[in-house]
Amino acid sequence: MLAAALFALIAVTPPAGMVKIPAGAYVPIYGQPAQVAAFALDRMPVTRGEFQSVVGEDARRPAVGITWFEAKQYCEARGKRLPTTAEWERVASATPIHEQMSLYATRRIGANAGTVGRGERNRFGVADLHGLVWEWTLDFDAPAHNASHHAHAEHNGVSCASAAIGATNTNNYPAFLRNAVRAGLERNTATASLGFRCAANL
Amino acid sequence: MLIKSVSLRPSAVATKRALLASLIATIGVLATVSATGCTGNADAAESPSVVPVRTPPAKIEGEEIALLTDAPNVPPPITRTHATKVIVNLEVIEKTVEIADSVRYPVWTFGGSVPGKFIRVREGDLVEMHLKVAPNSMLPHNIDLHAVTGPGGGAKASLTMAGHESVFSFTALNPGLYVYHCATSPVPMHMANGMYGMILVEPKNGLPKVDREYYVMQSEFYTKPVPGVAGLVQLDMDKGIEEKPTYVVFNGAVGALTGDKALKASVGERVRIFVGDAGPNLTSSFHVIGEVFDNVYQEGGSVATQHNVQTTLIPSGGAAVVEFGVENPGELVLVDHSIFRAFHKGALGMMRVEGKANANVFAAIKGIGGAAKHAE
Repeated sequence: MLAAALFALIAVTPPAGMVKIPAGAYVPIYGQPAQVAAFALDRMPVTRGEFQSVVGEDARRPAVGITWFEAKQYCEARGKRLPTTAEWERVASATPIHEQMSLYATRRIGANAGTVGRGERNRFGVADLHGLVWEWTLDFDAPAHNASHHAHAEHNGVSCASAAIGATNTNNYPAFLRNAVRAGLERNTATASLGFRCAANL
Repeated sequence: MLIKSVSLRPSAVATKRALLASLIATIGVLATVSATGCTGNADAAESPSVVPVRTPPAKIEGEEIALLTDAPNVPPPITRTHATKVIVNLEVIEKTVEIADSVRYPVWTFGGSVPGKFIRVREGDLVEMHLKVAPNSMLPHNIDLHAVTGPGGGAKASLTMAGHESVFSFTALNPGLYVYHCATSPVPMHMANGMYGMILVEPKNGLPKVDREYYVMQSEFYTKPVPGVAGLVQLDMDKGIEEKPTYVVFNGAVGALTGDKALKASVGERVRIFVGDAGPNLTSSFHVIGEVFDNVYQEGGSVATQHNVQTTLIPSGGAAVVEFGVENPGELVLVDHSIFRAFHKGALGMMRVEGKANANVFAAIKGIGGAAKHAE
């Protein structure tokens, strides 16, 4: 009994620097409410020091200027993976919309973004989801999460006021913003405001 | 363009003259239409029974780079008489600016200011829109010009990421004064953050000559403080949804048209103001205190539809062209006549008129602002 309990505890303890996200529901900005299985997520975005692209005083800033391929490779080399959009958005929705908006207004996403770890941890224990950098997800270009102009141009109307049609919550401006950012990304895009963090199966 | 001159005498003779002038002009236009062999000509639209299905010109001669200006200035009237390719280079720049005294707001701009650049082309021009987004931008942006016949007014073709450029082209089929704005989702946020401007499509025969032309755009800001940062405000989405703005301004800030930034004119001049209302929510009851609009092109259409107007209604996402002859020196005050907005929220601008006073136009005879004081 004790052995089983200990085994269970070890089995669900996530790797260092990660937090366990329990299974739960989330409502995407377009589509039906979905269940997300339990998974582990990095507490913070990957830093430049970790990514080893920039060293010195920049080491604690988020790693940016990285393509999806590079981010994916970095995670996989460490036995992890990129989080799916559903997983990322589920954790992001723990921060109230108005707080997300304030974070976008105060923290200047991009090249001058602050150091990783200064942001508050949300109720899952995850930090810096909002207002530091945009983050890659595994399936950012899947039709369900991306209304790019060369994918489903009519679907989800990210480029028009018609984006309101079929949206689950027209007040969720941050979700619309992220949807629009994903719509503009290609797998080999690299920008100064786009970083990543890793996830892992549990 | 059918209206050749403005009569200031609302008499029956003047009306008959105007009607005769219109009739002659229409005959002239129709003759031109059949001579050039085009159908669906824009001027034919002025006849109420015709709905043109417009066609781009058969011939485009040459190309030029559009001269873009910041409010309140306007590019000069177009003098060429042929359709050309006009290249418009517009860059989206996200920045923090003062929208009221000691109040800074994170705006997203077309060309570095709110409102964005003024674009001036001619009916029939092939406009090639090059939209860039500055590399340090947080978000993608696009553009919807109300002058465009095309998907999303161009928005669908122009979603542009930071550091990138998109290009699309359109023929300016319809003359008139049009609003443009960013249409990236969430559209209300992009518009509330200052992403709007205007494009004028001059009718083929141009607009009547005036002495001054100005660009004025009304808009609202919905704000709340940013916690912990003095002087910095952010978008208040709830106020936007409730349609209760914090500021209602001309040209992007409280006081943008006051003090040394007041518009200027001189007695004896003819003034034209291209007025836009970007919203994102409110219509405007546009009035100039101390003047009467001699001509109003309601809703920014290509025909002067009314004369002798005190206050004209401008739709949200719409425009108007107002023209008036200046007969008296002093200070004219531009307002949205929903007057609490002018007094409390910033919907107020000035035009300073210099020149010789004419006591027959106006004379203060007795009282506190008496005869000893000229209008200042």
